[in-house]
Amino acid sequence: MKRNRKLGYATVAILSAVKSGSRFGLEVIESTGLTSGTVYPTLGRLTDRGFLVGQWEPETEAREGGRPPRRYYEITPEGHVALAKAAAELVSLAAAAAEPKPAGGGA
Amino acid sequence: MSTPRRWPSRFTVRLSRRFIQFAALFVPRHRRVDWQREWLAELWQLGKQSPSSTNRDNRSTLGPVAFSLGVIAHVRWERNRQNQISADKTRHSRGAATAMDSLLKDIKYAFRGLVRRPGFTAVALLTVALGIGANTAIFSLVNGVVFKPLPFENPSRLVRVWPDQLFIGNGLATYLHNNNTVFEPAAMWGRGLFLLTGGRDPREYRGAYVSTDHFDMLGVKPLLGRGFLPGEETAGADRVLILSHEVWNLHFGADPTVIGRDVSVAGAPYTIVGVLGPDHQPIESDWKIWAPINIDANSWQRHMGSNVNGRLRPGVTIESATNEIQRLVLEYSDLRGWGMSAADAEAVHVVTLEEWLVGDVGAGLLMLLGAVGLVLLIACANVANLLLALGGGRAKEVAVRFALGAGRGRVVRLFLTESAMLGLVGGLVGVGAAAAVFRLAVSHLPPQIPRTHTLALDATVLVFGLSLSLLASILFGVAPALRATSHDLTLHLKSSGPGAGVGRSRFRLNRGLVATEVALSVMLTVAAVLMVRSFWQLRSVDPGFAPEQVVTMRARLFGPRYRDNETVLQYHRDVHAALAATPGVVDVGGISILPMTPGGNTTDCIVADRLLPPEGQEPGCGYRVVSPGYREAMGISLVAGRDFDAGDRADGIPVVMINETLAGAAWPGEDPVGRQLKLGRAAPGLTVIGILGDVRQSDLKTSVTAQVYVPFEQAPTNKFQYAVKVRGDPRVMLGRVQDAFKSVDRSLPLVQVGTVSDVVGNTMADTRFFTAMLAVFGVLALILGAVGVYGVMSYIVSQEIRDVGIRVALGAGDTRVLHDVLRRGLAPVVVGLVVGLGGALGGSRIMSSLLFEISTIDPVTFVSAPVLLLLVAVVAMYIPARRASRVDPIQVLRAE
Repeated sequence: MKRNRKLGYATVAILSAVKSGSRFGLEVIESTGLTSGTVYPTLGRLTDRGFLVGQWEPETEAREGGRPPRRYYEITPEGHVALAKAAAELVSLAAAAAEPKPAGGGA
Repeated sequence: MSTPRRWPSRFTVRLSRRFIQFAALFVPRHRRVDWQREWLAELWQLGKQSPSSTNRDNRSTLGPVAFSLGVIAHVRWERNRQNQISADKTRHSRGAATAMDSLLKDIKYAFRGLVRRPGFTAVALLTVALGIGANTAIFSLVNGVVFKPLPFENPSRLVRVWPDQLFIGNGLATYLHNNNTVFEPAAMWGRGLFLLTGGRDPREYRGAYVSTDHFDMLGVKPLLGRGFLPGEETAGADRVLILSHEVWNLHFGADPTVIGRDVSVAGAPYTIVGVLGPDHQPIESDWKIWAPINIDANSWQRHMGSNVNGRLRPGVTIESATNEIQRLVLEYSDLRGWGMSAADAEAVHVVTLEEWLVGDVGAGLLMLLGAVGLVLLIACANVANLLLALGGGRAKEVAVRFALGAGRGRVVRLFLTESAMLGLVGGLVGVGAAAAVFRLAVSHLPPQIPRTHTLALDATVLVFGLSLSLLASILFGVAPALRATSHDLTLHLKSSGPGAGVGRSRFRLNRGLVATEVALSVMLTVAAVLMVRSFWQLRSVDPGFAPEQVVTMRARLFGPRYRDNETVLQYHRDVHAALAATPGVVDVGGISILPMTPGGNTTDCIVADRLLPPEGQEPGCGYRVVSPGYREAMGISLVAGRDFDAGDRADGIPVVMINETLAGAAWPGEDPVGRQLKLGRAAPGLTVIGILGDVRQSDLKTSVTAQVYVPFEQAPTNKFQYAVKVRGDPRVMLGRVQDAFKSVDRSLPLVQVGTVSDVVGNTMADTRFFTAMLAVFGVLALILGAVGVYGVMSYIVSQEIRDVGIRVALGAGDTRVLHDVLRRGLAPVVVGLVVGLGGALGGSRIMSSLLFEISTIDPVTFVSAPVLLLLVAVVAMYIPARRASRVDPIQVLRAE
């Protein structure tokens, strides 16, 4: 299922949110401001691509918290690499967008 | 405001929950539970969050609904994902199915093609089946006898002391056993005969007296009961026995309560303590009963020939063990004042048990495996030739396939499928045939081949047969497939004649195959002729007696009746008389050990009226006890003097007869008759009364040694084998002779019953077997070679018929055409002959141990074998050549 595709903004944002400590879907939604219809499929896709791993919170822990077990996500080393690459591209894109004149003026 | 804000929240949460649960129904089943669980957990979390805890005011009430609407996108994603996965799977399986489909199609097509050409298919299948069947059969034999390790613990470390010509008595054996530092453990054994008189009919079995550590050394545990215990070898200990599985079955009906039972061995009480498993491989294949060896100085066994075997200590090599044993032999000789020289001691060797058990037979079997491998190669060359010819005829089919867009690989695969089917079906037929005759064939193997009772067509053999079939199909299939698909496409589509437009170079492969076939055939024929000539040589050896029409047997005397010499003598006098009175009996006599049967006694042989030789250097000779009449019955010539007669009794003058070899050695140029011979330094002198012709005592290959014969009445012995010359069919007479024995004492078992011709035949059984097998393979090679040459020449002539027609039209005569075809056909044959002779020169050297008085470069063989092959080749070529010479040019050209 892995395809070598560039990560879109939403994907980068979600990956970045998980990296910065959002552990489950709702936290990701809250920290990114994306809709649930975007966040959950993206979490699934990132898991399929091996950038995230998802696992269920142990029952005991959930019982102590008085809640149903949550599905927690964690970023994998591959996820770190992909995020760094995508972030760098976004940065250069942002830098290009911030240029005052269109490219080609120097020709 | 707080109440109205909470109410929709609780309601919307419940509503959202129902929605999520409903949406979950659309999620692929295997994902459904996890999917729903995650969503509901998140929803629960959302419902628990107080409105103030979130920084997004608008969502705190509308949250659950908006949140749960996300499931639509998520469900869609899950379904897409599932579809994607199934699509990938289908694509994979569809790929496999396509490959399977096309293979099946190839197989179907190949099958149809083979059925459409029944003549070709039958010949090819038969050839392959012959090659594979013969190889499988021989491999099963070689695998079971040579390759399979002996059923002992770490068998390659098991060795025995091989005395060669030296007689190892119990004294030396005990010394070697106790003082060597190379074996751990060391064990001793001596051959024995056990007459089991308990149980069913009394029966004699060969067996061994062994030291009590014998079975521990081999790492063999009895199936029932126990092995021997230390101390059971000393005098006075209870006498115990271990039985082979066979004796347990035959004599005791596989009774499991046999352990602890008392049986009588020649009247003496023994207790059975163990039964060995069916797979046990005795050190000598005819051992069936084991008892502890008694090394007590007063035991009767002290005169017995003994052997030492053992397990090499870690780090000890065969060479170092041999050195140590030779040193000990010398040491013992010095101790006993035997005066043995270092050269004498060097005759003693340490050999592995494997080598000892398999010996020369192994070389013979490997030779057969090589020979049968050559047969398969010839068969492959033949089938390849057939396929080549077929490929030529299929050029159009190939061209059409190319034209329709098939790649060369595809067409080659089709052709290879065909040859693989030929190989596998032929192989199956061959293996099946081998399996069908396997049991029968095994029962006809010569007795010299060990371990035949464990031979089986097991998985190893079957895998070998089928792998060989595949290998063969590659061997004969690849070149024709490549050749058939390498033709120029357009030529074939345009032309109409068979093989038109292709030059003579296209026959290069055919000719190469003919040369190969001839080379292989010549190698096999040379080997076969060498063996046949060697066997001929062996058969023409004069044994010194006439075995035809002589039957032989021996009564095993036991029991209290036969304790004293007089009763034993009287028994034999009665038997002589009973036999002499039997109709059809011509001569009757007996001997202590019949020529060419196992065993043999030796004695010192000192000429009485000369100076005594130094102690320990007395000349030795074979010692046999015979009765009057033995010489006539066996047809041994009397060279000088007289034979024993009824007057040579215990109370008469002690007399001996000697053989020619001893006469020449002891009295060169003198007449020995009337002279005196002593069979020991202090023994009394015996008068030589006659000289008998030399007799081959052990087998036809072993040369004659000095021999004395003493009269039975003067030296009665318990072991006395009769030789009865009869008229008519000896097999019929066997019964009458047995009846005569029974008329004297019905209770005595008769052993070693048979004809003397069989006894002599048995000593040659292994040579006869190898010769017959090689001869069969040689004839097969000749036939296959002839068929190959004929096939190729026929094919070439049929392809060149137009050229021949033109030449005939231009005035070439019949003889001219005939000679031309023959000359061209002979070229590859001659090349093959030269190459094959070279190979045979190298290969025959490995046969040297199997040849008797024939050189491995025997000129007769090396001339006759290629000439024979050349003749066969010329005959095979003559038919197509004559067909070519009788071509009617008009007809051929009109056909064009």
